[in-house]
Amino acid sequence: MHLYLPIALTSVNILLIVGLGLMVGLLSGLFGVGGGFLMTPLLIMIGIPPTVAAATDANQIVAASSSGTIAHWRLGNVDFKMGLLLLIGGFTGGALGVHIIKVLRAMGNANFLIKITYVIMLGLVGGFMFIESLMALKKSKSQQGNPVAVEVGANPGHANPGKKRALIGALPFQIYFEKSGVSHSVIVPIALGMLVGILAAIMGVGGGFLMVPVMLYLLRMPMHVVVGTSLFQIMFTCTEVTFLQAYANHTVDFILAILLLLGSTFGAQIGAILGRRLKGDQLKILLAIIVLAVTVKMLLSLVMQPHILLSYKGGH
Amino acid sequence: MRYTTLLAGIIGLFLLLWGPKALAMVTCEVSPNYIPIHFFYNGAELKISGHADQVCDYVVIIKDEAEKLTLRRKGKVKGLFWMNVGEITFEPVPKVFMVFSNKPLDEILDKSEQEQYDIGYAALFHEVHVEGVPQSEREKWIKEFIKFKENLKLYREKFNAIKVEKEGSGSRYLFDMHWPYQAVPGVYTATVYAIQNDRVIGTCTKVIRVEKVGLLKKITQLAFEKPALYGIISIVIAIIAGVGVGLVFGSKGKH
Repeated sequence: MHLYLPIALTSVNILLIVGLGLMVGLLSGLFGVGGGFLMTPLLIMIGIPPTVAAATDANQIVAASSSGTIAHWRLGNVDFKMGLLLLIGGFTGGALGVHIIKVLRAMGNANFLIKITYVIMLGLVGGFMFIESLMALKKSKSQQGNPVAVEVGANPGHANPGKKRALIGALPFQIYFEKSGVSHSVIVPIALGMLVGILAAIMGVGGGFLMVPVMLYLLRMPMHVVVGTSLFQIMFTCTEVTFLQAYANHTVDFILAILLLLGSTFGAQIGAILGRRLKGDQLKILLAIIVLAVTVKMLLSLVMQPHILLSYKGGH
Repeated sequence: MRYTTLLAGIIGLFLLLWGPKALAMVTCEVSPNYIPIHFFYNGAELKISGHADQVCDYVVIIKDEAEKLTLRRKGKVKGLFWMNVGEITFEPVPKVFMVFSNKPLDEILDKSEQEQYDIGYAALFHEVHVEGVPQSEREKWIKEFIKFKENLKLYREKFNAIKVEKEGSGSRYLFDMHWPYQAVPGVYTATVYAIQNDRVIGTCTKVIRVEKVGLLKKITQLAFEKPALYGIISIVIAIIAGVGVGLVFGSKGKH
């Protein structure tokens, strides 16, 4: 059965789109990522114009992430305090990033540098997460029956807490984040949020992939809280993106978004339930595998000659 | 004055008798010629038919108004990576360009006539300006452009598609086609060319109107005329759906 989309100006198979939503929503509820890295190219592949694909995806992520945030909030996995601070940083960083990219573009060949940096970064983050969670899983196996080991797995246990940590610890406005069980200066999450915001804006991605490792390894939050808090943040950033895209570019396809969210809101719930059954390190290693798979896919698409060398403007 | 009229009359008679071709009377019918786009629209079946008072070959061209189109262009960077390297502009090109005939074009129509009437890809692109790439690469990018458009089902060159039958001293033609849902709402023209001895001897043009109707039209109007309201509605619906499903699942989980 087909449905015509008023803004995308194309017809789509209803079941295919709902199914896509379900799959990406599942990843969202499970790992706390928006899933734009997967959804936007898939939508473009089935004929949605790139600008509409990216904007509408943001609209459906609002639904998936609010569904996921509620599920995780019930499980006590959302650190609102941390989420808000990261958001403040993220919004500022996003605005800065948009200007930085203009400067980079003016310098020439920026697209190449951005794309390569993105692939390398994804590869490094995925590789590091994979090795770290694999080691933690092995360690917890050898210390079976000791639940603390699993939770410590969420905290990567840096070998040298030394000077850097002491320096960060000396920053003013220290507060304790009860949900995450960590203490940080207010400046740290704001600065990190800003960094992710800048990178996300430059690379034209939502930033879930960057934010999750930052929360996990730099803010030392437990994996389950990372997932819930990340979804909470994504809900706000995607609301902003949806509004701006609808207002300035008229690229949000409301009908496509409804079809997608029919799947993704349920997917996010299923993801949250599945996530509850998995340990932090198991979640991390799964996410690491997906990140690595995306890296390989991006590398392949960079190296292999595309079938068609022309495309409409816009999108990722 | 009288001499001028006489001269014009003689020239007219001369043209009629020794002119390039005796013109054929061609009729054409496009059914349906109005395609409403509703929610379950997935393209439409079109039938184009008619006849000419002479035995001839036929070409049908469906297109819309030509415009300037700028696209992103992929290329190789550092000898290894394929990525977007810049923009390329084609002007003027129609959004839709479909060519149907009963025999291969080059067998029935002279190249100069093809160019004069913009019949076929070769004729269409003869006048197209390509900007953003060196002139030496023009042909390569025109081929890519056609591939891009054909992939979207918007360009088509299909010979042997039209059925022609003899009818008295004239001929009748008929063909069916699937109108692609990828063709955006707008006004298109279908022109039938009757061809004899490598020359166009008659034409007939009909308009095809494709239009969004009902709720689809209203949604589009809202998106373009009240974008802020449209954005807010999109967000509110997404939040209600997300929170709603979240609450339903949550209450189920408690039991």
